Amino acid sequence: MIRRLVCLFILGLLSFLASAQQPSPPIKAGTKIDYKFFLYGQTVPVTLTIKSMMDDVVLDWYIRGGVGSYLIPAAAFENGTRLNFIQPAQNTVIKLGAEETFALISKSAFSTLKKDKKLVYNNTTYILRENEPLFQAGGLQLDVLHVVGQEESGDLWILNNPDFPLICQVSNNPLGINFSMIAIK
Amino acid sequence: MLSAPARAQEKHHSFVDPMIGSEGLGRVFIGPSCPFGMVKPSPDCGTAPNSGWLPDPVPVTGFSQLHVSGTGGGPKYGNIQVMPFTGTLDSLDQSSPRENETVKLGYYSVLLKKSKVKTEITTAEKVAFYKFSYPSANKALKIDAGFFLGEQPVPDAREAQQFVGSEIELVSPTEIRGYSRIRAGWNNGRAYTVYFYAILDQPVTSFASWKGTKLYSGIPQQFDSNEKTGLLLSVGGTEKLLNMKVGISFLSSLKAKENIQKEVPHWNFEQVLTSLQNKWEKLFNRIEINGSASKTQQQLFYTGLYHTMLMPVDRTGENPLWTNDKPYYDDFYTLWDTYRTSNPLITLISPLKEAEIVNALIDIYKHDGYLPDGRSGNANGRTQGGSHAEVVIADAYVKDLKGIDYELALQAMLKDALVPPGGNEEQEGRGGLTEYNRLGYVPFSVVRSGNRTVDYAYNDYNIATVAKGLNHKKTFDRFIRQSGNWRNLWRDDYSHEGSKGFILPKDEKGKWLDTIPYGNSERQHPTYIYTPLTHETPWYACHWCGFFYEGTSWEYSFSIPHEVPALIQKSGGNAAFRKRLDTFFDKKFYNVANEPSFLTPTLYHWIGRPDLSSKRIRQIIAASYNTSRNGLPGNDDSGAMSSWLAFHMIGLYPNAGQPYYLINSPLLKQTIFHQENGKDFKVIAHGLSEKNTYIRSAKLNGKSFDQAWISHQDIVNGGELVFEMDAKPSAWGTKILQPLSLKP
Repeated sequence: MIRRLVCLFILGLLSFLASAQQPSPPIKAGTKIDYKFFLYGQTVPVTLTIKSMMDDVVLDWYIRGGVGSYLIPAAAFENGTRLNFIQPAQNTVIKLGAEETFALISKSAFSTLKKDKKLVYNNTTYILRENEPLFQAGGLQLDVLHVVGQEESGDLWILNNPDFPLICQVSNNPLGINFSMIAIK
Repeated sequence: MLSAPARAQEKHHSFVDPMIGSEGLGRVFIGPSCPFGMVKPSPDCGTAPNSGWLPDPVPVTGFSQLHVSGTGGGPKYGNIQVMPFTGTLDSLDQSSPRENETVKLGYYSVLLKKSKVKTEITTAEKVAFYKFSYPSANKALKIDAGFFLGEQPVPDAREAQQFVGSEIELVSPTEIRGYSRIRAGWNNGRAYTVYFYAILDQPVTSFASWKGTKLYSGIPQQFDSNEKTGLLLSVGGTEKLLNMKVGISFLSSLKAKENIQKEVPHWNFEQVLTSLQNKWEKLFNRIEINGSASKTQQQLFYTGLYHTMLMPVDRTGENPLWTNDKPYYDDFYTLWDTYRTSNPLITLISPLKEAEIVNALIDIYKHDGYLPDGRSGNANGRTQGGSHAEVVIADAYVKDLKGIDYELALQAMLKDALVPPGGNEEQEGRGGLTEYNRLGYVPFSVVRSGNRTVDYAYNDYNIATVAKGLNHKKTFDRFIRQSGNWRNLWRDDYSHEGSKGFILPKDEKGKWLDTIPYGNSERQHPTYIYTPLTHETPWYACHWCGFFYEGTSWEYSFSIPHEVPALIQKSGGNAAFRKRLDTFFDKKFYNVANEPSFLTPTLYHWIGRPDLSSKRIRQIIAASYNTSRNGLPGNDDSGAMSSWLAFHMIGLYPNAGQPYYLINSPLLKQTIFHQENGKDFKVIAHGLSEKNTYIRSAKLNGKSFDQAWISHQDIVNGGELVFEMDAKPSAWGTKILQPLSLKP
């Protein structure tokens, strides 16, 4: 009886926590995401603005007065298989390869993650870690999927949004480039 | 008509505005300091700012006694903090908003809004003097022996200062002693200890001490148990005014007390201030600019001189590491920053002072084993590129500074060039030296291999300079040959933005690296493309781990100050070099905010176009220097930015380590060097105006002078260099090009 009550209590608590999660603002052209990038001991604020997400995805970046863009081809947005962590270049649109994404994973990879609770990206298998604490960003508690690299280190927190699987946080990146979302608006 | 003579009599120090460059990137120290003064009291606004100070509305945490000026990276010092307050002795946080902040040379005052206490500060060499005016006789004071700048929650965070210990004691109703022991900071130095002895002019009536976060009412001392300590004091009497002297020493509290007795045995604030002003005035008088110069020009010029002489600091008699009668200087922050303009300017103002500084460097080599490139808190570090004490010594040698043991100096330089620092290359010596001496360049596997190679080549030239003068032929032969090592990273066939030939990364096997892997992944193998504009840090590598330190190949490929003619030839000749320079400035590849490009605007001289150098210099100054708080374009770095400006206002620019100055159109109508040897040297620009900015002709001591450079000896000899200015460029200075004093 006690065990049953405990189970009911836990279920109730989980349900409460789920309801406490606030949905992220709708991702659309114009959405701004403030990140903190952690680069070899230096912290760099980076703002990404979604300039377009129809067909190709264009992300404008802003860093300390500098501006530029990343262009993720439509094919990569649909079926990309790896992240490209290329450095932003001032006043330049960096066009990524047909399998490369930046700051998000492809929709197909996200779909695989939802289905199999794992995905292969960056030539690395990432396993979903369940029952994780909520992800906080700018007063919002976001519904994210935390995946952990298996063959080598790498943690990704991916927004639970099949239409725009934005990466909210990267840590333990073997490439040395980590970031965390501070706000989304 | 009446105002000009009146202004001409105005003291030079009154033109100094310590707030120029205090905000933005400049980060200059804003409190009072003697020239090269050890004690630098100033407000601290939290623990983060390098100079301690931040603009309103950030509250003032307190006033600590040691600071540095114009530095980047992590903060250093901020020791022995005092803060007046009113009320009961029950809170460690006495920070306060402020108003009526007044900053002049040698003087700082502010009204602390919370307590309504007006705080005034001046200083002697080793003693800070405080005058606190309270709103009533209810006076209290906090003395914090545990405070320091750059504290971070992460243990051993890179460039963060770390607490080691502190101690404090109320010795008598008017005397407090103690110390603060801190380590690390920007140069990751060993622990240094700042001892203090404070004397009040009125007695303490009640007190509480603290250790850690715990307050102990009525306990007058706290011993060192590796925790922060301090005192809260109530001061008696019916006076609203409280005076306090804080003596500082790096040897002991009693030495700090002795410093007070020796420097400030009285309670006359004005006398201390006047003495400080006179010390500065004596140095400013060495370079007198025309009284008709605009107020802005006077402010820019004398503030530039002021910034140049804030550091290094003279700690003679305060060396805790060894004893002798040599001068001891600390806070070389760093020679990488200062060798180009700060040290040469000090040489012109006071060759005796520069000789002291050089002797201090040599003495550090003698006792610590290596010359410093950076040094702070009695510890060498960090190295950023080359071993630039070599330039400073060679500059002293070619300018014939007396009283220096140049044989010993050569030994010190050779230690840098021959003995690897054994895993200690962040602190001193030359990193990648073994590879450099084996391959003739530093391979990409060693961090900062690009600027290390070009810097070492120049440092080798400096060694060759001194070796030649001292008749060490074998040493000269070797190092003059090595001074051409920059060619080993010069990629002749590489073109970028219409220019050919760049310093580019090469591996140990001699392969040029166009794409460079990054990260530590064994499953992803990303690369980035290296171009002459690549800033790979901090994205792909740490701040200290790039090919160049704080610069690009476009910048460093001009940084061959000893072989500019060869550089021009490598770049494709005069026309191609001019195009290269034009591209560099017009496309904004030039970085006004940092030192590697300091010489570059003058490189037009070497293609016979000094007019183009002058034009660029004027453009740079107009766009980047002014008298505002943001008036310096980059970290002032011990006056590096400021001395660059001062030289160009005069119309002379040194190529440090070589015995001449390039001549540019002055911004001032007249400058007189009143030299220590008693001889005056005048630089006069007849007809200089906003329109007439080009030199049409020049005369040295009455004789036609058709070269756009002048030897240091010509200045030392005294005399006059007179320019006739014109509105358009002329043929002046186009034929006799700068000397290359040494040839392989």
